[in-house]
Amino acid sequence: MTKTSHDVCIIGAGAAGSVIASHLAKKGLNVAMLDAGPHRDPQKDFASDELEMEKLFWDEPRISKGNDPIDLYRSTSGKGVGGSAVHYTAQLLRFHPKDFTNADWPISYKDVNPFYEDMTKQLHLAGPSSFPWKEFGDRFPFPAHHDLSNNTLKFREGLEKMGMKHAVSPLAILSAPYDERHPCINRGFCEEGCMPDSKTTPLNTFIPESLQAGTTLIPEATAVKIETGDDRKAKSVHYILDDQQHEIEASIVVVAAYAVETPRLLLQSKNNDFPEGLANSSGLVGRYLMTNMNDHLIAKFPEEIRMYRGNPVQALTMDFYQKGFILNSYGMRPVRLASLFFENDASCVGENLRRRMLDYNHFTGFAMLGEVQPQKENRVELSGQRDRFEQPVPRVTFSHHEKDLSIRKQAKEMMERVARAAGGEPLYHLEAHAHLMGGCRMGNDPATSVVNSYGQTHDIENLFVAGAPTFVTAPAANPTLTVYSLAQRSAEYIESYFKSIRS
Amino acid sequence: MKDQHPKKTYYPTYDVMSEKGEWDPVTQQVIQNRTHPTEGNVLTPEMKRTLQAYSKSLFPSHVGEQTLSISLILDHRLTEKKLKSYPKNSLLSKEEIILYGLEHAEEECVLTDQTPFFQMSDDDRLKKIISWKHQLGEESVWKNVSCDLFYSTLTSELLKLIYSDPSIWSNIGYGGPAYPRGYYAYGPKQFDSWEAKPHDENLS
Repeated sequence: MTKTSHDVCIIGAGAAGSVIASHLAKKGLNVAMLDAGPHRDPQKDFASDELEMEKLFWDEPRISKGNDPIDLYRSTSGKGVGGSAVHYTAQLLRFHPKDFTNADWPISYKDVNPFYEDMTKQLHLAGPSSFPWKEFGDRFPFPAHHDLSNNTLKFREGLEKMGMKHAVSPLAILSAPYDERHPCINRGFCEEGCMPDSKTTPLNTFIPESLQAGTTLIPEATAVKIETGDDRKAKSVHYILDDQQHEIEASIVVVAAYAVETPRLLLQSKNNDFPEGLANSSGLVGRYLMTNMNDHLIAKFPEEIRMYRGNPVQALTMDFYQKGFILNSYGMRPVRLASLFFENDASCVGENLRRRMLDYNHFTGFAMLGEVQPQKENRVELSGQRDRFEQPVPRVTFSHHEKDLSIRKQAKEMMERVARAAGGEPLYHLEAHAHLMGGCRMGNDPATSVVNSYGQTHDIENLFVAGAPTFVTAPAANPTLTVYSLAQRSAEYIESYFKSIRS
Repeated sequence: MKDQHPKKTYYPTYDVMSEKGEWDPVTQQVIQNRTHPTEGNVLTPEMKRTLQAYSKSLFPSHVGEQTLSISLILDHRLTEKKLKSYPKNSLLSKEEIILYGLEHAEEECVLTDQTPFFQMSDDDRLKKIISWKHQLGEESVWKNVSCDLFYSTLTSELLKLIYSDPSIWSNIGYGGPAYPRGYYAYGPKQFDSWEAKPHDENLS
C-alpha cells in the first residue's frame, strides 16, 4: 500500500474530471486524478470495429431494474481515461435558457453562458455559419461539415418538404486542420473511438494539458472509499491498483465518476459520522436518476443509402425542443443495428433478421433525443452483491413517467413523417436510451439537494461532485457541452475555495 | 430441401476482405484474430457442441454465409473476461448466464429426450429453443438462471458475432473498416471505389 498527498484528488478522468484537473493544475495546485480504465492511445488501442471497441463501455457489474430498465453497458457508460466522451457522437448542444428556469436548477442560463462560450472555443466546435435556433447559441469557430451522407440528405429533404428548419449539427469534430490534428475523414466510427483523432475529446485536450501542467494521472485505479476525518471533512481516497489498496490524502476531493459510480461511491463510503453515506443528509444521493430516450426510426428507400458512411450524427432539427425532443440523422453500423432489432423484437433472429439486414444499404436511420422527467423513485442504490473489489454492486431502478412516453410517441410519429416526406417507407421503431444524469442533484436547499451549483456538497465542504450527476433535469439536448461547461465553472470555484482554506 | 436463403444478397461479387491490406495495422490484427481465433479455456467440448447447434438452429439461414467459428470466438471472449457486465433485469453477468444456461440446456435435453442437444433433430432443437424463449423450460433444471434470460443473453451475443463476420459484411454490402482512407465521394449515387459497387451494376 502506498500513501501520497495532494491538494486535490479527482475521481474519474472524463469530460468533467479532466476539465477540473486541467484548470487546477495550471493554477499550480498539486492534482491527482484516478480513472478505473486504461489511458488509451487512439493509434494503438482503437480499431475500426464495433465488437473490438466495446472495450470503451463500462463493463463492471451493474444491476438494472424497474419497469423500464436501462442498458447500463453501452450509451450510458464509459470506461477509460476520457470517459464516455471517447465514444460520444460529439453533437454538442447548449441547453435552452428555459431549461434553467422551469425547474429546480439553482442557476440561470446567464450563469452558464460564459462557460458555454468558452467551451465552444476550447472544443473547436464546427457548426453552421448561422444556427437556426439562436437561443441555443451561434457562431462556431470551425465551419460546418459539408460532406453529408445520403442518410443525412434524406433526413434534411424530409424536413425541408415538411417546412421544418434543419441544420448541420454543431460537432466537436474538426472540419479543418487544427494544430497537429487532421480534419474528419468521414470514417464513421465515432462511437468506436476516433482513430484519426479528429473528434475533440478529453484525450486530445484537457488530459494532455493537465498532464503537462503536472497532474498525476493514475489509470486502472478504482476508488473504493472516501474517508472523512474528525473534522467531518473529506480526508483521503482509497483506491485499488494492481490488486493493492492505496490511499491519497487530499485537501479537496472531487467525485466525477458519472451518474452511477458517483452516488455509489458516496453511499459505500458511509461511516459513523455519515451513516447514510457521504453528503446524504437529504437522503437524495442516488435519487432522481435520469437518462434520455434515444429511439431510432429505420426507413427503407428504393435507392442505396449506405448509412455507414460518415459520422453517425450529422444534422438535426430543434423545432420540437419545446415538445421535449430533437431529431437527428443517425447512421448505424451492422452490429448495433442487428442488436437493436433483436432487443426490440425477440423474434428477429434467423431468416427474419437476415432478411432485414440484407436491406441494410437501403435503410436510413433517424433518431430522437427525448427529455425524461426527474422522478425521485428512479435511483442508484447498493445491492447485497459484491464485486471483485469486495464492494457492493450498484442497483439502478428506472421507470418512465407517462409524460416521457407521450414524448416518445410524438417523436416516433414525427420521424415517420420525415421518412415518408423524403420518399421512404418507415419500417422499424427501435427504442433505446443514451446518457445518464442526476443522482446528486444541485440546489440551494440542503434538504432537497445534494450539492450547490458549483458541485460542492452541502454536508462536507471540501467534497465536490462534478458532471452529469448534478443535473436537475434531463432536457432534450445532448448533455456533454453542459458537463464540460459546468465543470469549468466548478473548477474556478474550487480554485478560490482552495485559496480560502490555505489563507 | 427447404431453401435456407430465400432472399439473395445484392452484392454477390463484393468481398470486403479484398481491401484488408488498406486497413490500419491494429484493425487488420483484430480481424485476423477473429477469422483465425485461438483456443479459449472456459467452454467445455460439450458446451461448444451445444453452442454450435444452438447457433445453427437459431440462425439457419446464416449458415453457409457465415464463416466465423462462433464457439471459438465466444470461448475466447469469455476467457478474455469480455462478458462481465450484466444484462437488464439480471442479477448475473452475461458470462454466468451463458455458462449456467449451456449446462442447463444440456441437462434438460437429456432429461426430457434422453439425447444431448446437439444430437436432436433440427425441429426438436428449435422447439426447445422456443420453449426457453417463452419461459417454458423444465423448472427442475433451470435453477441457476432462467431459460428466457439465457435465450435473450446468448442470442444477443451470437448476433453480435455474426454481424462482426467480414463474410456477412460482404453479404450486406457494408464497407467495413475505414481507416486510414475514410470516405470522400459524396453526392447522388457516388460511392468510393473500394466500396461495393451499386447493386444494379453488381447484379448485371
